[in-house]
Order: sequence, then structure tokens, then C-alpha cells
Amino acid sequence: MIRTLWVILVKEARDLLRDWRTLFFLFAPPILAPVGVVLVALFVGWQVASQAPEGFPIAVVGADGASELVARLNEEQTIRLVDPPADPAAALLSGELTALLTIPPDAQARIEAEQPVTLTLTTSRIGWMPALVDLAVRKVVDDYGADLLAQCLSNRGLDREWVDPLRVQAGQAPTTGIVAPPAASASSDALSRSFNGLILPFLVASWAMGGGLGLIAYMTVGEKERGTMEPMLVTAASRVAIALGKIALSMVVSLITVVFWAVDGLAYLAVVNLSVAFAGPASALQQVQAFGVAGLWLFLLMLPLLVTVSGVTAAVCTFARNYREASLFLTVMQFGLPGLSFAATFVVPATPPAVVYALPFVGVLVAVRDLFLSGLPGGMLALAAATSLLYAVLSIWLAAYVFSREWALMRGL
Amino acid sequence: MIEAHELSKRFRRVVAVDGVSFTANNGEVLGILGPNGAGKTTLLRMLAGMLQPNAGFARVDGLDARRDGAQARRRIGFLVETGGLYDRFTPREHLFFYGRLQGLDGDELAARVQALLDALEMSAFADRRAEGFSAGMRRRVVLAQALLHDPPNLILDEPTAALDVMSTRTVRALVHRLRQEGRCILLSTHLMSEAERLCDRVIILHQGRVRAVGTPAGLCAQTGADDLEDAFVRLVGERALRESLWQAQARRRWWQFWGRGD
Repeated sequence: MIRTLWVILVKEARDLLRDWRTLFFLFAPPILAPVGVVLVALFVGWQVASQAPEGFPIAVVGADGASELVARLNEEQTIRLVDPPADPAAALLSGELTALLTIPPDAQARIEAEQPVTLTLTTSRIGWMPALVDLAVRKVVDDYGADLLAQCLSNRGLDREWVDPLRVQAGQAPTTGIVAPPAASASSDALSRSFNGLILPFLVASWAMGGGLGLIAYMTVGEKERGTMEPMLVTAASRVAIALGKIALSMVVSLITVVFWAVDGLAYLAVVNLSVAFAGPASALQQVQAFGVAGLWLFLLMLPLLVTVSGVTAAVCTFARNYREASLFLTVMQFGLPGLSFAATFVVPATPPAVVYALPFVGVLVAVRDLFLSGLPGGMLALAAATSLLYAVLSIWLAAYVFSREWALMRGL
Repeated sequence: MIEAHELSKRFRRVVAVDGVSFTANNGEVLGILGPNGAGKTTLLRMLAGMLQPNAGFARVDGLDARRDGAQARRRIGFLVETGGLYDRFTPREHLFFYGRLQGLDGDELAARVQALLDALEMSAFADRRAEGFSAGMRRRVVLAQALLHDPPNLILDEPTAALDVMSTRTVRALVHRLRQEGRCILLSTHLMSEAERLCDRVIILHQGRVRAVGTPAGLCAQTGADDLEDAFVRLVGERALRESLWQAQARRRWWQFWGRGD
């Protein structure tokens, strides 16, 4: 039995290692995704840096109307003030001008009279850099406006602080169990926790399917289509061992791809969460430890889910008559699992009954949600982990059972 | 020795094989002849333990094909009619893979693989990947797979299909040699000349039932025909043969229409 399993595993692995297309589509996305993000970030940085020494060209119409504001714009490094062209619209259209700021002629007089002034900022539509310029100009204008306001209040003997009389201070929310890292500021913590809790079930569902679905189809229904199933079935090898060998390889491949994706995901979460930690007084080490515990649980919950998906896929693909039929079955799964992840995230109540954690697929996804969103009691975590393990075992049994049944194996032969 | 006793197989409402009994002895080539849809492939699959009969039983060297499945399969080499290859594997790798599945290993397996590569004249392409192989090259690899574990019983489903003249002669010579070695060979073919030349006895199947059993010469004498082809047509019945072919084609078209055809 073990020998047959090993022979099948080695054969499938060798076949896969020679199939560079499948290898590429299995492993390239998780490897290239962070590389792509870094490259894009570098490219953006390079573009900005290459323009920064000179600054983006901006023309100010009516500069005499607000000389102080123009002086401040001149000090802004990312901006380079140029004379207004004869045809500003054409200059914006060609990209020669990044933005045009129009100041009304009576601006200085209105400022001195403590009356509001409306400026018009027109940015070019070429490329994405005008967005940066827009931000830079608005910041200068806002700072100048804040100073004017402070001066105005001071003239009346009022404190600038009174403009924002009410403040919100960060509070530490109680949790019901193991939870993702506590963060420094309440607003950013709530934001990152919500984002993690909402996105992670979907990511987990995607990772579980992303690894080996196509590979499993190739190893099962693909054998039928190639005409290699029958010669294998007439050998003395046990059909259960053959099925287990195939599932074993799909597990290994799925695990490797999930590890890649998990590293990507953990890197992302680390950036999100640690940036929060560094922003506040909490110890960065505590953040790492807290996040590490949640990440470890996430990984442990994901493994049985991965096995379950692989097992069910193997059973479905073994039953399929041909690739076309298998792809129909897999389409249901490809839509079904993300659908379950959305249901787990948005439909299941915040404190669900225990039975929810014991449901196949949904239990793990809800546990992942709660782990990073509101906290997960230890008992519920144990329940989700134990039942997901049970489903993993059952799915392997299902795959082996279907692979040893004539009504499934001989369909299409 | 392969024995079939009242073997029957039903797929939903279609009776593919209906109470077939025969014995194929060691050192004998027994031909299984029949029109399309006669139940030949289903019968061979039951004998090889791939399909479970609804009634009756099959024995391979006294082992029940169902109860002693693995042991019985170890004593059978089955050349599958639609047997395919892994495009990224060489013939040598195919043979090593199937040999290991049959429980062979080490020097014994290596020697056996090399002997078959030589016997079936595959040495020239033994280490080339199967992608791009001709139908004949593929057929020879599949045949070698069936012979790999040196089985005392062989089931050959269309062994010379898609082979050129020289390869056909090689395979026929091999079948002769295997019979002389005392092996029991079941041979299914559509080529009457091949059956006449290779088979000691033939069974004519029609609509899942045995219509006649005998030597090629005996069947010719029994029907007053000049050759086995004429005898076959007379035994099956020209009209019945046409109806059978028409039904098989209609059935195939029906399933193809619903996307379930072969």
C-alpha cells in the first residue's frame, strides 16, 4: 500500500516537474505578486524622485492677488512655479503644465477683510502625477489657511485649540479570546482589524482553491482522457493506494503554494499591523508576538481546510467523465467557496452559536474572521480546529472511496 | 487459464454481456469476435477485474477475479484498446512505472524492461518523451506494459490496431511465441484474417451472448463458408449484423449528442 502510494506520488511529481506551464501558474502568482508590488512601488518612487529635483510645473494666474500664498508654494519642493502660458488649456492637455492655480484678483483684499477666498485648481489629466501635485498644492493652501485662521482668532483673543473642542482618545476594547495584535490607536486598530477580519476568510478560501485544483483534475479525470486510467487499474496496485498517492501530491503542492501565499499575506498583515504599532506607544515586540500567535492559528486552521478541498476535488474529478464535466463541477466549487467566505464574513452573526464553528468549510472561515476581528474563545477555536480535522479525514476517505468505485472510475471509459 | 461462468453485466437498462461462459486454456489463443456493441470490451474488462459482473464469475488460474482481485490481476496482462501514454514520460519510464505498480523492482525490473524494449523494437525511441509518438509507437509501449510482469495470461484487445505492416508482423510473431511458451491468450479483434491466422479457437459474441464457439476451420465447416469472415457474417446474421451496427451507431450518436459519447 505505502509502496504503491509512493510510486504514484513520485510519478505524479516527476510529471509535474516536467510541466513548466503548470508549475508557472501554480507558483508564479504568489512569488511574483510581492515582487510586482515592490517593482511598482520602486517605479512610482523613481518617477517621483526623477521629477522631484525640478518639481512639477505649476502656473499661478493672479499671483499678485495672494503673494504670501505664492511665496509658500515656491517653498514647496515638489512644485516648480512657471509663468502662465498663453494657452493654459493646451499646456495642461499636452502635459507641459501639471496644474494651474487661479487666484482671484481681489484675494488679498478679501483676506485682509477676513473674508473667504475661492481658489481654482485645475490639474492635467495626463498620467497619475497630477494627483500628487493636487495633494501638495492643497496641503500648502490648507496650511496657509490654518495660519490665517489662527491669526484671525488671535486677533480676537481666542485660542486656536478651541476650533476643535472635542477629541477622541484610544480605548482598549475587551476581547473574548485569542485575538490579532492590539494596536496603538483605537481608530487605526479598528480599521486594520476590520480589514483583516473581512478580507482573510476570502483569502483563505482563495488559497485553499488556488493550489492544486487543476493539478488534481489532471491526475484524475486527465488519466481517463489520456487513456492511462485503464492500464493503471489492471495492475495489481490497490486503487485506494493510487488515489492516496495522487491526493498526497496535490496536498504537497497545495501546501507549498499556500506557504507562498501565506508568506505574502503575513508580510502584508505585518506591514499593516506593525505600521500601527510603530505609530503609537505600544511595544513593537508585543505586536509581533500577538500577531505571530494569530498567524499561527490561521495557518493551523487553513491546513485541514486545504486537505478537505483537495479531497473533495479529487472525488469530484474522479467521478467526472471528462475534463469538460470536471470543469463544470469545479466551477461550482470555485464560486461556492468564495461565496461561503462572504457568507461567513457578512451573514453569520458576530457571536454565532457553537454549531457554526463545526460546519464544514464555514466553521473555519468564521473562526478566521473572529480570530482577527472580534476575538475567538479558546473553546470555539478548538471546536473549529477539531471539526476541520475530521472533515479533512472524511474528504480523504471520500476521495479514496470514489476512486475505488466502478460507477465513478468507469464513467467515460 | 481463464474461465468465465455465466458472466453477465448490465448498464442501467442495457444488457452488455448476458450469461457468457467459456474456458481459455494455457497454450491457447482464444479469439473473441463480434460486431461493434457486442459486449467484447465489457467482457474483457470483467475478466481483467476492472468491472464487477452482475452475475456469474470469472477465474484466472483458479483465482476469483472479484474476490482475489489483486492476485488475479497480477496473473493477467491486459492490453487495453484505448491505452494511452504520459506525454512527458519516455517509454522506458513508462515501463519502470508500471513495473513498480506490478511489484517489480531493481535489476529484475531493469532486465525485463530492456528485454521488452528489444523484443518490441523500441530501443530507438526508448528514451524519447512520448509526445509526438505515432499511433504504432504508442501501441507498442502499451503492449510492453501488458507484458512487463511476465503474466501467464494475456488479454489483448485489438493488439494490431494502428500498427503498420512491419509492426503487425512483429506483434503476431510475439503472440505466436507467447502461445508456444504456454500462456493463455484472449484476443479480441475485428480483423477476421488475423483471428484465422492467430487463434486456435474463436468465440463469436453478438448482443452480449455467445453465438458460436469453435476453431476457425470448424466454424467455416459448420456454416459452409469459405473463410472466417463469411462464417462470421452467417453466424451473426447479415440482417442482424446490420441492425446491430445501426443500433450501435445510433446509440453512440445519441450519447454524443448529449455530450457523453466516447
